[in-house]
Amino acid sequence: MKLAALDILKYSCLFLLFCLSCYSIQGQDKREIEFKIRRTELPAQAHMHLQPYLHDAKRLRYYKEIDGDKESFEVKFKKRRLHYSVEFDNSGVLEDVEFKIQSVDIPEESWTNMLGYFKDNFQKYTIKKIQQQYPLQHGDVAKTLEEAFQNLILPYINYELVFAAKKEKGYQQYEILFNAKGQFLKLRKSFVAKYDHVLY
Amino acid sequence: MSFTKKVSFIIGFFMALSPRAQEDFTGFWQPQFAINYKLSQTYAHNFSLSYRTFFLEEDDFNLRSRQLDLTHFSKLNIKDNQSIALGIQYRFRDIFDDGPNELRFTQQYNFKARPMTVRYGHRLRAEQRITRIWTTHRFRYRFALDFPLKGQKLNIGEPYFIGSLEQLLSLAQGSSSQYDIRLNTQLGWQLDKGFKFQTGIEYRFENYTSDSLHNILFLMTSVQLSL
Repeated sequence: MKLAALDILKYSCLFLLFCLSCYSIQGQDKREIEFKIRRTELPAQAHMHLQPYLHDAKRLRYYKEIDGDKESFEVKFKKRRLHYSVEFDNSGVLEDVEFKIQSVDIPEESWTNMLGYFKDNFQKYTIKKIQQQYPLQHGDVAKTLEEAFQNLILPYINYELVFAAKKEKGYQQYEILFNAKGQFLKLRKSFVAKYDHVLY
Repeated sequence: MSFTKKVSFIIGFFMALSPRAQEDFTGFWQPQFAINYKLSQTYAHNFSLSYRTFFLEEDDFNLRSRQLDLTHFSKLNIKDNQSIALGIQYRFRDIFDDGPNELRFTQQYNFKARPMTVRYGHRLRAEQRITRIWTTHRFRYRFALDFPLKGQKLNIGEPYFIGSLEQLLSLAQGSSSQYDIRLNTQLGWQLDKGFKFQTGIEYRFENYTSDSLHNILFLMTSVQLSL
C-alpha cells in the first residue's frame, strides 16, 4: 500500500511539472502597474500645490502608475467624508481631481441622460462607483484645485463611473466617462483581479 | 474599532478557546496544486490535487501520509459578483492507513464585494460526504477577505493577504451534530500573470460544542495556475 502511495505522489509531481512547463510557454500581456510610494518620491511641484488641502486629510497614500510608456502619480485621501484621488503627470503637473459621490449628487437631467446611455447600450448593468472629476482647466492648477475642493458643480466637470454589464454572453467591468450634461465621452474595459485563489 | 484591533480580538477569542483541550492537538501539512480555466465568459473549471500529511501526531513530530484529494469544481457566474458551483471530490485514504475513501459532492453559492481596496467574500456550501461506512451532510458558511499588500492593485511580483473565518455544521444519522470553526490566514504572491503561490496557516476547532474539542493546525502551501 505504501508503494502505491509513493507512486501517486511521484505521478502527482510529474503532473505538476508538466502543467508548469505548459504554462511557461504562454505569452505575456502588457499590464498597468501601480505601486505605493513615499511622499518624498512625489514630484515637489505636485506636493507644493496639494499641501494646503491636506491639513485635515486622513488615510493619505501616494502611488505611482505605469501604463505602457505613461507614468503618473496619484495621491489618495479622505477629507470631510469624501474619498479624493488627485492625479499628476510625471513632472508633477495636475491632471485631474476626483472624489467619490452617489447618484443623488448628480443633477437630475445629467443622471437621466446617463441612464439613457446605459439603457441603449447594455442589457443588464450594475453601477459600482461614481466619481466627480475636475480635469485641469486652462493650465490653472490653483483654480482647478480650489474649485474641486469646494465640490462645485461646474460646466467643465466630468463623471467617471465604474460598472459591470452583461454583454456578449459574459460579465465585464467598464469605466465610462460622461460630461457635466451626462453626455457620453469615453468607454474602456476595466479588469478585476481573479478570485479563484480565494474561492476554492 | 480599527482593523488591527478587530483581527487581534478574533485571534484572542480563539486562543482563549484552545487551552480546553491542548492534549488533543494535531498538526498537518497540506500542499495543493490547482488549475483554473475559463470555458466561456461565465463558465469556468477548477481542478486541484492536494496531499495531507501529519507533522504532529499525539505530541510527536512525525511525517506520515494521511490522504490525497482530487477535486473538480464547475462554476457559473450568475452576476458579476455572484456565482454558483458544483463540485466533486474523491479522497484516497485507504492507501495510506485504514481510513475509508470518500466521495464528496458540493453545491456552492458565492457573493463578493470590493467597496475600496479590501475585497469581501461570502461563501455558502452544502456537502454530501459519502464513505462505505456512513454519509455525512455538511453545511458551511465562510467569510473571507483579501487585499494586495502593496498599493491598491495586485501587480506581478507583489504579495497579497487572505483571511477567512468559516463555520461548519455536520449532520449524520445516529450521531449528534458537530460544529467546527476554521480560521485561516494566508500570504500569497502573484509570481506571474495567472500564476500564484500561497502559504499560511489554518486553525481548526473541531466539535467545539462537545467535551471532545479537537484542535488542528494546518500548514498550507499552494500553487495556482489560471489558464
